[in-house]
Amino acid sequence: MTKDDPILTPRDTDIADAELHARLMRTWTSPPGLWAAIATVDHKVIARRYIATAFVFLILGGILALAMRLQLSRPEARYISPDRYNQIFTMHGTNMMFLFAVPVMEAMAVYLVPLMVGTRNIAFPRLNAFSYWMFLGGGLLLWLSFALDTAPDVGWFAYVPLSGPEYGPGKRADLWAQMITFTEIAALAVAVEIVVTVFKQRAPGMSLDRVPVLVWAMLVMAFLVIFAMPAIMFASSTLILDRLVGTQFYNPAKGGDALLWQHLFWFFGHPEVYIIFLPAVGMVSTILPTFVRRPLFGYMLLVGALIATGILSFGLWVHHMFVTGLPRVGESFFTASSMAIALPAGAQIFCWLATIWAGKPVFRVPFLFVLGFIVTFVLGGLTGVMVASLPFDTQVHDTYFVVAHFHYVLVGGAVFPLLGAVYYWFPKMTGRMMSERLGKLSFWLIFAGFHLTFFPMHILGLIGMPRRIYTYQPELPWAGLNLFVSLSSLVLAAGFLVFFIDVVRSRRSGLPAGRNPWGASTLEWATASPPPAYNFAHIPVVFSREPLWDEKDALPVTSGLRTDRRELLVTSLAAAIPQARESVPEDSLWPFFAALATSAMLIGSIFTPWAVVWGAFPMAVTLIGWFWPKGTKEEMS
Amino acid sequence: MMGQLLRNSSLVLPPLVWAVSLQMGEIMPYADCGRGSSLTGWIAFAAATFAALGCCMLWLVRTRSLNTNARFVDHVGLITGPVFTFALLMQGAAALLIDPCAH
Repeated sequence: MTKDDPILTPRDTDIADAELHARLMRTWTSPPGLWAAIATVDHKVIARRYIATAFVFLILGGILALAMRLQLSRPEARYISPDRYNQIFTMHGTNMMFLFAVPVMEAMAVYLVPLMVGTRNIAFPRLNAFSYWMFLGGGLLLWLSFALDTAPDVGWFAYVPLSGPEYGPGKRADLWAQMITFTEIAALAVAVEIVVTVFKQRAPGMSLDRVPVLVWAMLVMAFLVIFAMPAIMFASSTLILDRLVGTQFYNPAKGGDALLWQHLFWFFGHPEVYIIFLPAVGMVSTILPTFVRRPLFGYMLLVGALIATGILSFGLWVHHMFVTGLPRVGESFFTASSMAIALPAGAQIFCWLATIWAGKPVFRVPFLFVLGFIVTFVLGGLTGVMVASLPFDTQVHDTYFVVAHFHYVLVGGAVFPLLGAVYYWFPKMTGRMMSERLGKLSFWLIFAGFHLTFFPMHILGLIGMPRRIYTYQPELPWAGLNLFVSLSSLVLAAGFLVFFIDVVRSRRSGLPAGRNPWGASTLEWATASPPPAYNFAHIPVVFSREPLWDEKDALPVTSGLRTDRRELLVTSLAAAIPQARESVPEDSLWPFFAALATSAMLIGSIFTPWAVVWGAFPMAVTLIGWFWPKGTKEEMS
Repeated sequence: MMGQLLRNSSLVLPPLVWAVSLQMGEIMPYADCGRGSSLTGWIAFAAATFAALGCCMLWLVRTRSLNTNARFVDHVGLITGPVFTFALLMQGAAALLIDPCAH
């Protein structure tokens, strides 16, 4: 007999709850101390770090936005130098898209997906840790360059030839390109983890038609990341090659193609909008039923809409390139797809309205943010259909109309649901409730501040104010509206300030939340708040889409997992039938060291191509340490 | 076995032909302009026909068993397929209306 013999190994059967909890805590909890904190592979700890870091980047990006509004508040202002202004608008866009919006949505998935599918950790937990350190490295790289006054100044999409070797001297564009590589590695790693977690670690019985909509949304988002992000990684790497070793990918004079950059960038860039928006759809679809006390209307329609939106999002990218001189017929194909995507988006909105209509709404703070989202996103969606039309887009291209449109879509479509999601899941993450009073104040300030700030930008665009301008002459008819927008942005900032005060205050002294303070239906509320390191003492068994509403007395559970090592259940793809018990990797410092080695290589390669060669050695060492055989085998059920 | 194959084909057909037509929409206008033809539009309409056929085929071969998973996948296919067909019809209409030489 061996120590792995099923008869000898300690399992979670026939043990009292307290004893089981003690055993599982011994097995799953990370020891105290700095090195242990760095080595942890607990998805909840890593997700909390991810979310906190992303919100720090949101604050920094917001401060940059206020600086831009100060500069534009009156004609011919000189508060900021032109060069610094170029850095600021580049940093604002890059930071918000690559360091806040995408990472925070993925981080919410890292926290919530394992809990919502009823498993004990995310798939590939060490890759998860590696992903966070890479994300942090990319963020530090960008912000250090800004602190040193050498930040990128080429706009968040870094069009060539402006960012190429001819017009972009120094290392600013290289820093931008390499920051992209950092964050995309991180995003791709998380995407793979989410796909595998959803496909292979769902609780027994959670067949495809019982998967929560948020999990579906995160799954589609993860596929979008996997298919879209390689394009931008290829683009950023070839841009560095053009700048560092003299390749000519984007130089038409030597056989390259400047438009190739735009195709590659927007092949990633448009799906990225949906990478941010689809998780928000999932959040709204999860929050709504809880606050209207009825199941979601049109579950299947919503899932179909998520999938259709995800696929169609890859056929829209040329609508960012309508003024580049491509054949009109080809452009009209992208107009058609851009308008067709309004169908699934509209179906989603009608499903939510029907859910509210048939329910009994309770106007708590998360629900208010959902309502704010619906109003704002519908407005943003309508202007989206407008700019999908080629003649209209040609008129407003590169004006403040487009700035207004994409802020309505991104803030309305993603930030409102995200803030609602923070209010909704904060009790689960911390065990404490957030303040209703401060939450409502924050919502109304953000809602009013947002619309007062961004709606007038539509008008500014229609009367000809271009994007990215440093200043404007007093005789142009823009001064009054610009001052109004700048003052309104202070209201928006005040709303975010109240939100952050509420987060800090509630974290310290919020009311205890209990296991399921909202009376919600999904599995994450079946465990304690905050969840223990092992998530669930017994893996739940699912018989419906609303397990906590349908199994009011006691949630059915499985048993048989070992308690002396980290183990979880692997289930089949479609029907979620148990297939195997699989051991989960222990905490490890190797992902951190691998991220350090990768960071050194990537930063070095901004300056010399030899960094790729020499940097490969430390990376290889860390990967060998990471993947050194452990001898633990998977056990079939 | 044949039914399963038909079901899977019907599921992937609409998005597949939409993707092909989209690529053709980028490539073919140059040829259409040179030859005075309107192949781009007819390719889009042919793709729309295939997408619609895919939806109809899925409707005919959809599972009627008690397997909720299979039924769910069929229904999701029946929801998404018409969206691609609609996009393809609009693409075809646009290609017939716009001069292939226009930039």
